[in-house]
Amino acid sequence: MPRIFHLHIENFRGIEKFDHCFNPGLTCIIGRGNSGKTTILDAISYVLTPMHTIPFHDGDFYNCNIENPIIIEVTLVGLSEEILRKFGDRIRGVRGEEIISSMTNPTAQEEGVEDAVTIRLKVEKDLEPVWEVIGDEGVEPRIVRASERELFNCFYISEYTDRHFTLSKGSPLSSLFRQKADKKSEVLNAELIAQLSRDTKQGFESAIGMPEVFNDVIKDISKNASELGISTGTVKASIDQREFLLKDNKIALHQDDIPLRQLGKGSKRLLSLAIQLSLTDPSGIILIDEIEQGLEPDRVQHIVSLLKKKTGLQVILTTHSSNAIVELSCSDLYIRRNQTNGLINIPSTDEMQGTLRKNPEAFFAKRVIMCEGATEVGIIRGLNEYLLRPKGMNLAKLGVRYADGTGKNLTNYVTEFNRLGYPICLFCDSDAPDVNDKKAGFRAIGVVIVDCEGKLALEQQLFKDLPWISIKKLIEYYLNESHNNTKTLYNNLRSYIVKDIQYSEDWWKIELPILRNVFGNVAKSAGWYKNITHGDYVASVIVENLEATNPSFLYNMVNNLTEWMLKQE
Amino acid sequence: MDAQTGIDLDKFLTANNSMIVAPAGHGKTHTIVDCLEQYRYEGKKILILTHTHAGIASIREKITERNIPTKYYEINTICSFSLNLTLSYVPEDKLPDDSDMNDKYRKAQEFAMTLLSSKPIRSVMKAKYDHVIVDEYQDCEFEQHRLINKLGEIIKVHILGDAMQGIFDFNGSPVDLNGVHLSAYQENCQTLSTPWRWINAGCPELGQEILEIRQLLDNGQAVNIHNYKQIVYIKTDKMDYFWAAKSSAEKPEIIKILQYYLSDRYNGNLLVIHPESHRKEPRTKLAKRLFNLGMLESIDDKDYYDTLNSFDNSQGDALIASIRDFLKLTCIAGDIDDWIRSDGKIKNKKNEKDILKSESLNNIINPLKNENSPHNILTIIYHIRDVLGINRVARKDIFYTIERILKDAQNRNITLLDALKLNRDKVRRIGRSIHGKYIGTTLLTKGLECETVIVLDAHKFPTAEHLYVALSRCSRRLIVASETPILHPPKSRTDISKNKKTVQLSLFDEL
Repeated sequence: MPRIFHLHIENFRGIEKFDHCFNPGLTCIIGRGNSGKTTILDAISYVLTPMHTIPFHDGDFYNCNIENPIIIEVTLVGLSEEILRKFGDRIRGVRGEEIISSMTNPTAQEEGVEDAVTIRLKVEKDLEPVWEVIGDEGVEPRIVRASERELFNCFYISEYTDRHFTLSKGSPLSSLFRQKADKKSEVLNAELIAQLSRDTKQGFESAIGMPEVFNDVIKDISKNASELGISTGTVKASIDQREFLLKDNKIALHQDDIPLRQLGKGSKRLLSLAIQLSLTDPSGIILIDEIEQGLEPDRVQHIVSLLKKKTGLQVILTTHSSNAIVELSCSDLYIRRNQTNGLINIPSTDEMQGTLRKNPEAFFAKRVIMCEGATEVGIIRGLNEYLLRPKGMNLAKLGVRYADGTGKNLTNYVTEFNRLGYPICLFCDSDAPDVNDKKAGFRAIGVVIVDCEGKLALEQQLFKDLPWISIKKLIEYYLNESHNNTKTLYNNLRSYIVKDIQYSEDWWKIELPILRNVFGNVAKSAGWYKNITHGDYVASVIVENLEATNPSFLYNMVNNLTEWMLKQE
Repeated sequence: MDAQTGIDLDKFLTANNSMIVAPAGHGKTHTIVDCLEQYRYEGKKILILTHTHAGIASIREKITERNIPTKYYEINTICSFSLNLTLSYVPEDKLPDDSDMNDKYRKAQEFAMTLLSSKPIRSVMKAKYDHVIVDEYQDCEFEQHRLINKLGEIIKVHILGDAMQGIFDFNGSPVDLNGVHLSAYQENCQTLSTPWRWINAGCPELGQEILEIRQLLDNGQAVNIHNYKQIVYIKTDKMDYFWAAKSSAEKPEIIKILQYYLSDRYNGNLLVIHPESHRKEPRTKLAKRLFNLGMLESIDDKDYYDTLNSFDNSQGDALIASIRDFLKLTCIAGDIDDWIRSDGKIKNKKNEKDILKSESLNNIINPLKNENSPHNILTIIYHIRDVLGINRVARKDIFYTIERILKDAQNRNITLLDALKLNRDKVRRIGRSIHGKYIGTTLLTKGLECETVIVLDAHKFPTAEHLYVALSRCSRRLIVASETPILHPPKSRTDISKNKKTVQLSLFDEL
């Protein structure tokens, strides 16, 4: 079955130039908004559309410069005999990632060469799209008709799925009907339909030339719909009165007399997917923009894993949902970045897969703050809340995402994110020798490191540098959270402080250098602040009296962090 | 088993390689169409290849009679098939231009060989065709045979042929139907043995006599035309064809006969076959002198290209000179030299009546000649014909084709050479059939049949095969003109040395 092997784009919307070789099976494209993900899907669907024409605007040209034509080329492999017959006069070959356009090239005779055709959509400043099949350079391309493009079986689930529920030309529903009816007879009696539109919806059944085919189709769709997790109830075909102008368009699927186009967004998209999956031996190319739209997280996961299992189907989807990507393996995932000429593939190693499972959100960011553990994550969240927000800024807006290094995997994660080209800030302690050993290497590859003084852990650094008023708050917080009283705390620490301090209710409120040490050490070893909420609180305390710590090592750490966050690319 | 032809079509089509051998007029074309008729179409076509456009036309005619859907088959000459294949995949500038089509076809054939080795193209061929049927296989030169073999690696190949009709062989290195490189085909060989052409025409005796002649020629023996009752023999003299000066009483018999069959008294089709294939002059002369005799032209004839090329590249007097040459080439226009000089200037006249005429020529020509648009060229041609009274067109094919190309170029706003190419493609697609009265050569008439055939200078045919092809074109009436009734042309295969590798450029001259 045909699948996309390679996509080439020039001067289309935000993309000046783009090339990518696609996998068989599933490809999931992630990236920040405006990085061109939807443009990529639009480009594919425009080249392979069975529609007669597509309205183009000046704004569809890169930088609105209509002097440089829009060129979109899709090279397909897995060609059916029918496609070979129709497009064979401009056949090409592919091997590995190479497109062989000259058939006199000796390589074309070698083992492992696959048959391919390249379809090109070109739009010049007259805004008239021209579809051609292109062969060797210097051989005149041949125009491709809309009906021929139907053979590629490309199906786009986007914002506008209403048409999918009608029998309009080229819609998957109409293909489905034709498939079932063996392409020979007309399933619908066009004359009767025309007459019906003048009357009412009643008696529509009489216009169905082959009722058994019709019921078959509905049954298939319902089956696939329920597999996707949606109940179709009593679906039937009827006249949609909104579409009274176009002949075949008038027939649309209805649920209890309500046109399916009026269903909720998510259900609509699922149902439209179900129709596509009902086409014989699920085949063809399915494009899904923002698969999570209108769906609950569990449904997103269900559908992604279902699509991944369908063989013979090439699915290219975009998503902003971490729910979608945790279901996938690294080899399915590609990152799209603005102003680049392709997609970045994610190496499929165990380390990378682990990084993905643990930090799916970070894959959607422009930049990543890799935190050593939960405390650091909490602190970054807190800094976002208490430091950036008052300035009218926030991490999401900056495209920065924090990730939890979970201690032991920290250096792996840094390595993997760096490999994918994410700018990274590593936020960590300085008490773990194995991490410390790698810091010089990380700096050398451009990782910005914000860590503690000497061999201190973060807790030690806090109790060393914060003003006493803040320290009192941290202790108070600890006592509250741990449901300990001052007496227990005193007893626990007795061995360290016994010589210096007599017990009283307020013994911990008096500033003493030794207490900074002791609290710091105990907070570290007992993990007083080791979760995100605690870290968040710690950040609020730091920010409250930040100026009072100036100058201190902690002050510089916070400064470096915020500076890195606010840095514009 | 087909009751009428005695051929097991199933066997013919199921084998990967198979062949049918049959003399002329024994229903080879019929058998090809039978294959199409019983073909179970499932998306793939039968590719039918032959050598000449006449061959295409006769197959197509039978196909049309039997209402076979066009999607079942594709029909082409091997040359055009190679060229089309090449043009689909190779930039045109890698091929020679159209000035020498032979060279172009030869190069295209080389490309086709490479292309058919490429994996993607092999997939396409496999998806497009179920069978290849090659007609007139004896005419395949060795390179073409290699090409068909290449196709045979992908698709089933079935061939039809008759060694006695191998008339391209003096040019190149033909494949020997009985040779070892065809052993795979010989294993599945069937024979057609009924002379349908003559039985259907109601003249079975004539068919029998032609078969007898074939036998003699095949054995390398001499033929005495006197021995055959169904064949009219006319003894001729060298000077018979220069009859113009002679009075009507002295008019040679062969000329009288030609004039009879060309006149309205005979309203069937007539084919006059001349033995000289490489020279056009003898045929042109006859066509110019004998009223109503048309000339068969090769669609790749150099005259088309040369004429249009000179129109395209000249202006002013040079353009007028080109038009003059064109009219001399195609029309009975002996007078034109008295009015237009070979450099394209109009001659000055003294006589008052003549001055009027030359002024009229000048008046129309002068304002137009500096722009060589098709419209201007046509206007000039019409005007010269009108003023000088050039009414008779001898080479109708060339004249009217060029006229059509000029109009086409004007309407579509394309160059003359592009319009020529379009026209050629069209002829290739639809083939060419002959109805009327024509003179041609064996090469131009291969595969055709005609009610009445007059063979001229029968003693001059270069090989036994040429003579057999000429004699077997008729269905009802055969008239043989010769300086002697004893005809003894050599068999080609025995005495022609072959170089297996080279394709001679003249190979396609008369296609």
